[in-house]
Amino acid sequence: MFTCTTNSPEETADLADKLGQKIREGTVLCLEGDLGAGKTLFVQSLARTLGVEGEVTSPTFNLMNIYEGICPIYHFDLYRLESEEELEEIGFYEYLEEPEGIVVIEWPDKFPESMPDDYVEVSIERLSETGRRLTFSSIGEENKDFLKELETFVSSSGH
Amino acid sequence: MSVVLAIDTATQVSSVAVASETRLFAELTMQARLTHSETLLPHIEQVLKMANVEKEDLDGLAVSLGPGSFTGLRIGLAAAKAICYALKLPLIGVPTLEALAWHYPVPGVRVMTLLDAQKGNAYRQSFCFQEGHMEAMDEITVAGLREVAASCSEMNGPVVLLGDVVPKKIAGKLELPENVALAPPHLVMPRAACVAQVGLRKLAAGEVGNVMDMEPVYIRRSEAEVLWEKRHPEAAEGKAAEA
Repeated sequence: MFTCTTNSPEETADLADKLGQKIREGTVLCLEGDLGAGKTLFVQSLARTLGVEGEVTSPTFNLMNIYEGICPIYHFDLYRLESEEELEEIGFYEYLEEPEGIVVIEWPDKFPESMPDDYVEVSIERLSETGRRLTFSSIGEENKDFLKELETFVSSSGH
Repeated sequence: MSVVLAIDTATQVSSVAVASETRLFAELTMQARLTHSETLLPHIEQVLKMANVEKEDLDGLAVSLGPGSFTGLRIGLAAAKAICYALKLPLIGVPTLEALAWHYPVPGVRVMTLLDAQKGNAYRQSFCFQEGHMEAMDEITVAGLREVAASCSEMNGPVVLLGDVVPKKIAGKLELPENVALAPPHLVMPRAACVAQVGLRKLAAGEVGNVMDMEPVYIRRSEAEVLWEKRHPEAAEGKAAEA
């Protein structure tokens, strides 16, 4: 686990860009943070780095967006979902095991039991109007090395 | 003689075929990164053309009903319903696992069909070819892959495993009993030619569905309901009281 503090939306976006440079296909990324914390901004920057050219917005109403970058990116927003059954109906578990894509989940804490055994968690906390604290953790064994690599990469670039 | 169009999108394979009782006119089967929603309709058009069959000459449409990928099944069934509605064609729902078992119409071989149900589970059902029919030896269940592998050792005679979990999660990853063989790549995934075979038999037997109320077979739905009831015991009790 490691944390970074950012002082502007640009700095937060830059962290997402760093993550995008290192993230591997088959990774599930859970993104926590209150409304307005900057989750969408984070996904937008990550998606740009992964080669997505079209619009990136939170799929609060359509539940899932798919972006075509260097690999497919499945962007879920669980905020509006009420039951686990709905999660199953939208094919959530099928996408979680998609080895060729990257899955990004906003509001994972709505269904903690439905998250996979292994994922990368990014938690965004609001410190001030523009200041944020980002905590990166690896849940499960699979992403441990990746997280270390990311920490070295991020700290070497001055965050 | 009847001619049917058959569709299978229950897995990552997209497969479309045109067949009669005696001939497979054309089949297009592919497994690539493109999604079914983009490829299915163009493929249907292409296969009809290759088979030299006009859509007005079809006698029915057979669609793979599941279990399988929820998204895939919905795309297949939605397309099948729309086509049947427009062309006033009989719609034939075909159990995905039964169609898959038709890769091995060999007496004496237990055909264990396994499709991915995620989290280390598979939709499983086993079949045996007997007197010209693919007989189901048990009910469809959701089972852990280890449990399935272990259960095969108790079966007499050779067992062949097929379905999308075989290359994904079994081959080289699970220890298997001696009587178990894995299907090779060209026989391991569902194909519309098999769906057509089962569909033609159902059509002949008058087992035709309705465009308005046919639904995919979603096996895990019940599991989800069990989970929901665990978390909302009051509501579950209310439901039981109603019943």
